[in-house]
Amino acid sequence: MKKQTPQEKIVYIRIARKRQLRNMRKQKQGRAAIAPASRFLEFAEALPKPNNYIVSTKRPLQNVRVIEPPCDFSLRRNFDAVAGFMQHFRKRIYGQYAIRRREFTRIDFTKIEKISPSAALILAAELDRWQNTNRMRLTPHEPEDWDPAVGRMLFDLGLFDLLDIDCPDVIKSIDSADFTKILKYIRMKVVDPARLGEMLEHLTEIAGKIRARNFIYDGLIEALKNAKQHAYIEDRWYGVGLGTSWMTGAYNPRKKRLSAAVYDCGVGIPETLPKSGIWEQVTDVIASIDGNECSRRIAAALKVGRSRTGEAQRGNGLPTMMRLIDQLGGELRIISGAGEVLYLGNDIIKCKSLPGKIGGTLIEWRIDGNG
Amino acid sequence: MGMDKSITKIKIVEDFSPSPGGRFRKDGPFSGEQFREDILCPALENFEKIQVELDGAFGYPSSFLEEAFGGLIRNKILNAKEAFNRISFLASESYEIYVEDIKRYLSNASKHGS
Repeated sequence: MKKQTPQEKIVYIRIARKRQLRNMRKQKQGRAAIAPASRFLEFAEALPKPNNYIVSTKRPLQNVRVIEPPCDFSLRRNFDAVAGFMQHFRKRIYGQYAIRRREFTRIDFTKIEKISPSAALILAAELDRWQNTNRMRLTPHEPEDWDPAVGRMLFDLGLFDLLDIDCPDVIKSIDSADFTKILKYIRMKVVDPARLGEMLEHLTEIAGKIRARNFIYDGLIEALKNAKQHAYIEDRWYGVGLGTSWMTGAYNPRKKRLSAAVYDCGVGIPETLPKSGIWEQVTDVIASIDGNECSRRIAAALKVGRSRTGEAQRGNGLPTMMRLIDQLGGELRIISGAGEVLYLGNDIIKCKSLPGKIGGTLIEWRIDGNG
Repeated sequence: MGMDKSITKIKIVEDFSPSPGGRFRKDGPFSGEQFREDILCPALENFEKIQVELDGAFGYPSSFLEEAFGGLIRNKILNAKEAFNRISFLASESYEIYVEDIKRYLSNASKHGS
């Protein structure tokens, strides 16, 4: 039998389980069982016999597990809990354990009291990936009980459309004048500059005239291009097509803070950097940087990229991302692997070692004082 | 076809796209490679001088500009001297930085191996 990909294995186990249950019901009813197709045989024989409570002529009960996200859903303030939650979520969804026990996972969104735009983007990306993989819809708990600001942000982000559920009027009717306004997320598999242009137009509508909008555009294109070209390694399973990334923009009217973010669920910059054309120069610079290996690699790549701006054909993406911060101030934040790097302009780079991974790469620009 | 001695103007936002993209065609639409092959090279074949207007686009990612213009040198369509002689740029203050980028890419493409 040819070797199955992890995704195919998940599908085959599900089908084999369904047939096993159907056969047991038929046997109870005195009817002939259906022999599993040869390609499912391997999985059908490996499955444990289900408990008696499942074997019933009625529709079997669904084993539902509810997982609770942290109440402060922000990577900046609560990284450990948010990253841990995302990891736990992926394990419940994609783990063989969950498939075999036929468990369904729900997220209790009522627990979230605060949510940041970048963390919301990662959450939406994971839910989008999960639905793309499993062809099943997550049914959230009682949306009318969600925190209003959280519900409104998730509504604007497009979560209700993603889950194909109605947004309660209590969330839709909230006046978001004081809340952070976020744009509906966009998923891309190729670099579609027209859609990015539309997103910036929408961002201008909510934030007013954006200073140096062209530099935001340039940085976002480079981030999307890097995700397309470098983030994903072939022959690995990601649950989405190679090169997929998600992006959004947000504006906080109280702080006059504009932000834009791109997220991909690839292997991370620290892992792909050794294959890049700048790796030799990066290794020369790494020794002079403090932090864990992941943050040092990212910081070194920023420094090398800055020092060789325009020198060679490739490797101008990171300096382009940094240019916006040099022009307007603010912050460029890159989280990849277990490392976080902040670029604050004027060649100031700060590294941070993280206790876990978010499961991809997040690139976020934050500019204060817009509008 | 003989080369016209006159000058032609390429307004990127109208003649190509208001939203330039990545480097190669495989990255997505409106790439630097597409601009060079579909717009720039035909213009260079038919006209002596080209004026490229940059204003009005959402922006110009470095990969786009480097492939569009640096690619002229790398693919031996022009050498650096010819490129500087035959291609001029029209840009307002907020787009001037891209003209400097393009000139740098042309110089470096010439230095690093065409």
